[in-house]
Amino acid sequence: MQQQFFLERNHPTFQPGSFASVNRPLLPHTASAVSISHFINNGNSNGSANARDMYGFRKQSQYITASEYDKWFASYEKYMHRRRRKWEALIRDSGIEFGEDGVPLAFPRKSKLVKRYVRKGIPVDWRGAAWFWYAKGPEYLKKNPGLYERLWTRGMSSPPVDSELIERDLHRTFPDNIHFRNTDQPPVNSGSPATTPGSTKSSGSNSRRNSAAPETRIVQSLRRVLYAFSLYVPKTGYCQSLNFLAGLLLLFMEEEKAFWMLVIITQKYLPGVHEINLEGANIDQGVLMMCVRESLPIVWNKIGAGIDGYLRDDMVVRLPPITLCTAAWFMSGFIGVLPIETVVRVWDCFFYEDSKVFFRIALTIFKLSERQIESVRDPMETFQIVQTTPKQLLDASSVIQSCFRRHNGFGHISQEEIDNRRRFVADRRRHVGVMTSSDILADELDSQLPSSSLPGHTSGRQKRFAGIASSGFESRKAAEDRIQMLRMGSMNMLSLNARNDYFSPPSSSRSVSGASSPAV
Amino acid sequence: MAVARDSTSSTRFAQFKLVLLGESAVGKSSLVLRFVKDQFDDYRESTIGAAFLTQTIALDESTTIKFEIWDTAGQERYKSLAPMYYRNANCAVVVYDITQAASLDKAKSWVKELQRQANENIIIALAGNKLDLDGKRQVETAAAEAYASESGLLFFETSAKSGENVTELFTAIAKRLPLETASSRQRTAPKGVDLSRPNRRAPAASNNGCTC
Repeated sequence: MQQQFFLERNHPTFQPGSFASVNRPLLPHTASAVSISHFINNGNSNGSANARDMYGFRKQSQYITASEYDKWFASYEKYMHRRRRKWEALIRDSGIEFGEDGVPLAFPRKSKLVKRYVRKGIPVDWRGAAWFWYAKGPEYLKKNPGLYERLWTRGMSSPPVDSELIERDLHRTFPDNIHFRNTDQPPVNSGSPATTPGSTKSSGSNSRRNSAAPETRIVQSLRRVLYAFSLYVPKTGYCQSLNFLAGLLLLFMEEEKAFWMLVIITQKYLPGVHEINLEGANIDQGVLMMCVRESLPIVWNKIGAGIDGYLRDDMVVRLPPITLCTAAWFMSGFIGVLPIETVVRVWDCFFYEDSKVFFRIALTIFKLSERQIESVRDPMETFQIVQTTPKQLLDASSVIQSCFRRHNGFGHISQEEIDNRRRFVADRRRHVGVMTSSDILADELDSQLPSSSLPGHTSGRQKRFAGIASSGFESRKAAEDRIQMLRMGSMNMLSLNARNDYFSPPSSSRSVSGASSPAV
Repeated sequence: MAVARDSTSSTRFAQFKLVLLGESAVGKSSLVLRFVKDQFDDYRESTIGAAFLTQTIALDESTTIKFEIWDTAGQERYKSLAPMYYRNANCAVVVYDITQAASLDKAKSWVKELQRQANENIIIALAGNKLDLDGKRQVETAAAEAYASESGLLFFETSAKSGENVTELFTAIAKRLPLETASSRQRTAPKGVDLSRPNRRAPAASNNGCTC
């Protein structure tokens, strides 16, 4: 049985959202079973007629055509087959039994070999189980029996404060995936009642939709998971992007496990990233910017040092605008950023190796965009490149290979290193945060500074600020840079006194002064 | 293409940063999609973080405007990131949903924040979206219009779905933008906008050759 290629089996893992009770095992769900077997039977022989991938997503995107997808998948499918055989041997050699569903009952202890196997991809129908296993999900489940069911039951009868936000996003989660929105059924036009049990708030937000297809089971699971999560972790509540994380998890595991994975991701892997002030996200972006600066100086010159007014030692506090893009990468675990197969391959490594994987993947994306970024003249194009490059990275294996290639410049970024840097950035941001309420100052400065300040002229405010800013001596230019910096960022700032040992002495004055020296 | 023509002496080319703000699910991304690609999806994924798009329009025979559009996530907690979007924005579209009264309140608070914090000369447009759902309207046109005029905002009711008033909205903004300033700003050290244009050595010659 295990020797069979996964696609030839009608595996329950791929009948997502198919259970009413969270404690019951997965039951077959006709609609999705049909779509899977349709893929199995016709996927290859009739590739172009089949618009969906094995997960139910549309193969075609704005950046990838269906035929590009089919071409890639033809060889990827063989690759998956080979890897699966290797995994089966590994599991047997480890003395691990298979369950009735063909999924191993446990996974091998961590080792170099297993890490290599994981990096090469976990068999698709074991994936949920392996993620759960390596994330230590079973421990959470064991410690909290029945908790999930109690939480969602409570959530349904008295919806959490975030329920309205959740409801708004339920139908905006993977609308292109057949399991989330069944396009075979035509949308019912307006006025269809909300199907949320016990939620009065949500019926309001649902009814504003002008069209609503009947809710799929996985969407109902998604609602329960998000309601339960928002009750269980109130300091995070519901954060947009959790819908995508939970949604993808639900394609691979039953909802109680998906719930615990969401808890584990937000507490262990990406601490604080989804919390109300998003400080964890900002911290991680500070860490990422440090890594980019060290490992990819060409990129950094465009996205960081090349930006007016960004003084290097403030970059973890005053994040460069590119972090508006990259923060979303982390928050949504690259969903919607990378093609879905690449996402799940990244997640394989992520749950096994921890969050350093996200940092390294982000660096890989920058690395793969390096040439293009280097050649742009209009810096706004950098945003375009950083936004579109990852969407084209269909070849999951080569992305993973570039990520973990030796001597790629960021192999030294270990989990310990990431954790240290997270502490460093957090401390620094905290330190700076208490020093001043910067936005007020920044705004004051903004309103004081003439829009076209002439060279040589320094306003009183600028002088004063230069005085605050400098520890001793600071040129007008530098002061102006700082003011510029105040104007541009959103975060608390003025890490002006602290020395940052992570950073080498400034050497980027070329681009900075090139950028802001007043012409004529 | 418009960009290519800008070096001739009879055309003006200007680039402006535009930011979209507003409550989640009011249709910010849909408005942009309609404007940039003339498309509409009944089902749009929620925007996480930010999306960046550009669209170039010809204002008249001799004037080309390129919008650099930052589309933002609507959820309250993303608000902490908002200053990064709007600090150097030349214009903002604050969107509400005409079928959701509360979304106008949110829009008003965005307007207030922009007027307090953003560039002094920022052009703000208020857009009441989902005009195609007129039957479910909760916000009266007159009330929103009165608010907009007393706050000095451009005002449109739009439908990203039908396309109604979408181009009109962006064109009206373009007409309001200070072209001379923008152009000259491109040559000189730009004020805030400059996060977008750090390096003016190369582009100054080719890309910003406005002739005003």
